[in-house]
Amino acid sequence: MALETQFRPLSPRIGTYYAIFVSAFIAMVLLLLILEQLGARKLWLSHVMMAAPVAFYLGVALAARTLDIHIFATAGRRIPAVFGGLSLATTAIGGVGYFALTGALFLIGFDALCVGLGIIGGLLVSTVLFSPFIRKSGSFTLASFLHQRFASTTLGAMAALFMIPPLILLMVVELQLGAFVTSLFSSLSFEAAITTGAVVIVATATAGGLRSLVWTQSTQYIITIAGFLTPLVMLSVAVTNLPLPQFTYGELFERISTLELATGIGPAEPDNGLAMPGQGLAPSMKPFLQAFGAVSRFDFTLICLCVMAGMAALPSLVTRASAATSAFETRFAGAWAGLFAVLFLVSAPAYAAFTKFLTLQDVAGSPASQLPDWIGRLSDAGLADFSDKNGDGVIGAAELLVSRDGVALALPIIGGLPFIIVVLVAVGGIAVALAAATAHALTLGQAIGEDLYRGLLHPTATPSRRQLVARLGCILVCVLAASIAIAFELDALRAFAWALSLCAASFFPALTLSIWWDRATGPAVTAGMATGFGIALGHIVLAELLGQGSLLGLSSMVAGVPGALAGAAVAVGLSLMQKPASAGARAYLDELRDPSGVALYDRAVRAAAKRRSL
Amino acid sequence: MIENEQRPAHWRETFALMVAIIGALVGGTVVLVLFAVPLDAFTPLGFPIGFYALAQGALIVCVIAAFWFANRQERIDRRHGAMEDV
Repeated sequence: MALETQFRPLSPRIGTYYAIFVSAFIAMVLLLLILEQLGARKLWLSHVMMAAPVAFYLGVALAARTLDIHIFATAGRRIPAVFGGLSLATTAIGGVGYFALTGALFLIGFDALCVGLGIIGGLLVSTVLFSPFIRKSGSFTLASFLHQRFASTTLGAMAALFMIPPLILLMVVELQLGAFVTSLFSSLSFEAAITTGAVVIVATATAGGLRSLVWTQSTQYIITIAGFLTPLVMLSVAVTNLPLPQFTYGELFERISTLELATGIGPAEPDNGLAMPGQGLAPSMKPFLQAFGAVSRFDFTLICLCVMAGMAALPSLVTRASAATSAFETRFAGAWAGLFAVLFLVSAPAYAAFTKFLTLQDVAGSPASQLPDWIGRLSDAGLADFSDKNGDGVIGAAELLVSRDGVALALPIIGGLPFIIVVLVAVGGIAVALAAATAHALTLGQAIGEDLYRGLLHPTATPSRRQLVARLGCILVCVLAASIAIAFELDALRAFAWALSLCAASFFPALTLSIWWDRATGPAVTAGMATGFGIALGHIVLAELLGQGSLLGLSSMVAGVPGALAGAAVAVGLSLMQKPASAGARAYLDELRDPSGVALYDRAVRAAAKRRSL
Repeated sequence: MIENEQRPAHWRETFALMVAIIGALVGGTVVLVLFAVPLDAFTPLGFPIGFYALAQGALIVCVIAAFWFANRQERIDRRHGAMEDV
């Protein structure tokens, strides 16, 4: 029955469809550029530019709709590695990488590099440590995997509950970043933009589950990278005469340093705690190239490792292994994801450097009365504030205020590129924010359907019922995330670090020990996961309430490090005190470590179906 | 499927490869952070090496390592009889 569909081959024309889509998108952008030159209304242009891709995502999602639980949860296990990689890359980058990381690189330069390295390292760690084994287990969610590995309902349900806070945090910041940009270029208010985003996410996630998600995310990646690279390449040609900004921005550094001196941006010392730039308007704290001026060496390393562990164990990435055709293919999907993410992440520092150069070039040393007109456009949009506050006639370092999340949009405006290109950058950011938020929503919905509803309440629930609950779960988490996003303002970079810290502290030790250590026992892993999660959550809450974001000298952004260490210690210690695992658990582990053969979950389902038909 | 007598050897090699990659990743990160400032003294094409390594070099090496790992692990699997069957 349901499992037969698994072998339906993928359309061989999928590459052609993508080529047609890319051509159509380029044609639309060129057409709108012409209309802009002819004097079309800007609001009309930006509405078309933003609505058309969203309509396309919804079309793709609906075309991939399904009522089969196997396709809903695993995309039929037939996603080729390259497309798996495209969609994993969008989840890993997200709007946080697109807007907040680029802005942080602009404001603190060198010191923000730890995040990018952490993301790529995390994808590598995930590929090596987890994904082939999750694929072999065939589990629909990270929590179901732990449940099956230790035959423990408690562990499964607890893991599902622990997924909720980090993934909701990520959904909230993705929604806020997307809505912030949408409200700049459309007549929608911030709240209306969040609601619209949530509706699009619900529609994509509930139409065809993982299948809809993978195919929409692949198109979203293309739009994201087009949006990010277009202004960068155009300005790179204008400034350095070469269209390869990633390799040419080195020659800007000397000029940036001179301009920084002229403006009065002097070397900084990391004072107490780490000074990652926050939301809102802020001045550049240190020269672009200075190493460890805002973030100390120690914190830099901790953030890097914490992001790595959190990214590796992020449930929205780990569960995606199930879409690959085999455990072998899963490893290549991870490698492709790294390649696509790197294309973005090596461009982000170049983006920041070009923005910095163009900003300072026009502003440094020139009298405050003769400032270029792009400054007015930036401050009208609330992206920057350059005014002569102390009245000395020039704009000094402390008067160059830039909004972190607006840096990505500032580059095309400063460079004097056409309005459509500015909107293109926004569209790219909205695409990646939607892509990541949808992945988190679907992951949570699945966990609600599989681990909380089926695992805790109705072990005998039918597939159609589980699917229905998973869909309702998606809607529920979207409503929750949208309400939080409207009610509270969250700092994207901090929330991102907290979410990854929570994953690093709870799931990273649990998954590592359950796959790589024979002696791990269910109760010990349960206790370890709870300890890690509790310590990380406690650290974040106490640090934010009592200290200025740090506790015992450790920032709340790296709360995952103490949590993961304590969690691993508890799990290892308790395991050693207990008897080794039973023969059944041992046999399951042996099967798990063999990458060939049918996914264990599928085999169990088939065996059950066979028993029923006999 | 991997035969039972092959399992310990297969797992030993898999484990060694995992330790090598994760060790290199964590060790490499720490070394890069420690030596970023002295490395910055060298600036070919305008890029200080310490900055360049953390902004691009290390990331590109990670991706190459991921593809290398996927191939290498597949060889280990095949040598011990794991066939890619559906």
